[in-house]
Amino acid sequence: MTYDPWAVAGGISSLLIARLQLPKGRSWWLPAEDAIVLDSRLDQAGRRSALAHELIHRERQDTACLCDVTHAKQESRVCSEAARRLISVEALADALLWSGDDYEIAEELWVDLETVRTRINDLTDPEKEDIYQRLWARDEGAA
Amino acid sequence: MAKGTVWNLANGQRQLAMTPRPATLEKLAKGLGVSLAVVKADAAASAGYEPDSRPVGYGLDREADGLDEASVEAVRTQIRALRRAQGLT
Repeated sequence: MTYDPWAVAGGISSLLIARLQLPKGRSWWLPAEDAIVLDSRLDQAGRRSALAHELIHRERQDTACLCDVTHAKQESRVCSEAARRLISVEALADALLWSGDDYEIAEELWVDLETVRTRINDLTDPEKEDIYQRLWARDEGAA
Repeated sequence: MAKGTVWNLANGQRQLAMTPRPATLEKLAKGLGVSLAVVKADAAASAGYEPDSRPVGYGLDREADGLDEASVEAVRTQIRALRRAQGLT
């Protein structure tokens, strides 16, 4: 089942989702206001990716970090989790069946480029094996 | 958690030299019925740290790319207005 961040956000009555032109960044999670702000210049895939990212910050009750190391860890974990939720291994395999280009895959999967790249970088060995098997099966079928 | 510990932490009867352990913060949040983030912020403040009100963001560096407080406050103001307009408390 495809993860739908808009459906998740719609189920949280206290949460405000706003689209504003942000001075920096693609989206913000404002804990004190219980609000997620998406930059108004994002395209549809960008909004979907950013919303998933901020929802995970909200779930984790993250706040801005004082330290570079904890900031990097926090963002890395959230990016990985967002990519995993937004892109199933089946969907990624299907996209890889017809394209090896990250931009095309992102468009096909309705996410931004960073999310695709994070998902590919974070593939586990069993997931890689699954994808190789699917690609191999396609090549065998085409032969 | 002992009631005395909760009372000491909540009422600030002694100046804390450092923030309480994470497990203590979690138990305090549960006991007080507030979010962990709130307790963490208060613990940081009690230990002398300024509460961090910067946004957490996708595509923001730790220092928020030099994001100034006025810009953040401008967004917050719009958010508060939207909340009022939508009847969200």
